[in-house]
Amino acid sequence: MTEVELLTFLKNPKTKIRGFTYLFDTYNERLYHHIRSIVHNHTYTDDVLQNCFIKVYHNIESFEGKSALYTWLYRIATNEALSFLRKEAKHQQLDVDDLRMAALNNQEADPYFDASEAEKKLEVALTQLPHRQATVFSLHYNQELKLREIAEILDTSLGNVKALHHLAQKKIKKILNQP
Amino acid sequence: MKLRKKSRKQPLPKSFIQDLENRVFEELGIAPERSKTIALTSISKPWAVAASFVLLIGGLWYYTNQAKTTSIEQLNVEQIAGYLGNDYEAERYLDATINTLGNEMTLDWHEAELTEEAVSQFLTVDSDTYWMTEINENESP
Repeated sequence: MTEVELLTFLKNPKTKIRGFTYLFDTYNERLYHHIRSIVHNHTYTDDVLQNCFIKVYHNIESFEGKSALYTWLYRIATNEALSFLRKEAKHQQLDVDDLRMAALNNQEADPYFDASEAEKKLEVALTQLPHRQATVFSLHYNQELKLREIAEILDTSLGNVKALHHLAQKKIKKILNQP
Repeated sequence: MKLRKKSRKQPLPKSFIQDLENRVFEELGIAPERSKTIALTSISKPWAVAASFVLLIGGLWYYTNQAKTTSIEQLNVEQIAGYLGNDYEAERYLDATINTLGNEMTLDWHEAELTEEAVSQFLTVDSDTYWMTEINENESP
């Protein structure tokens, strides 16, 4: 099914549920990993992903089709994840970066985190980056999105995304090369 | 644009996806709807079939009429005579038609391709017209 066909289903009240079920089946994994790359914890990801799908269902009528549907989904997921981190950090009286680090440290006990050593190292490196740099890097590396698509998701310019990605790469190389 | 489903990461456990699905759909108060023929169901199928049928019939009708028109336009004088049975009467009608159409046509009527208008005129020439033409010719000095 193409994106246009899926949108047709989602915008028609008679076929909206069928379209939404298809969207859920298609995107649950990709969105899970994207959210997870921001919040670094399965339980947090689970909550954010659920909210994300609920928001998509309620707001699909307002999607004007100016961008691709999946970039709109990633944008919702990114905003939901960042908003969740801010709330949770406030609730736990922590800084957002400290919360991300704490979440990462608990990953060893996480049954859904079965990454290789290299992936774990990369995950640790990402938590040491400012969240926008980490998000750009993760979307490009893990989700295999183009920088132009990431610019749409983050609602920023392509030049800005290129700069963020360059900085992220440079810092990750430096972190991974540390003994 | 085709939808991308694959992720670089490892697949998630089915139990987790099922649990997530249950919670999302329960929260929304709906039940998942899945169909293998999602692209051919309710929206498009009935009217698409009807539209295809109408287009097919319309296309055939158009083609048939176009073919007729084309063949009439491309008929030359000899072919028209042939259509009329190539008998004596037909040839006389043909002569009358050529006279009606003018000298230019008369001079090279063997090679001439008649226009639709000319064919129309030819087909409306009846015996009275023919005889009138002949009488007029006989009366001329």
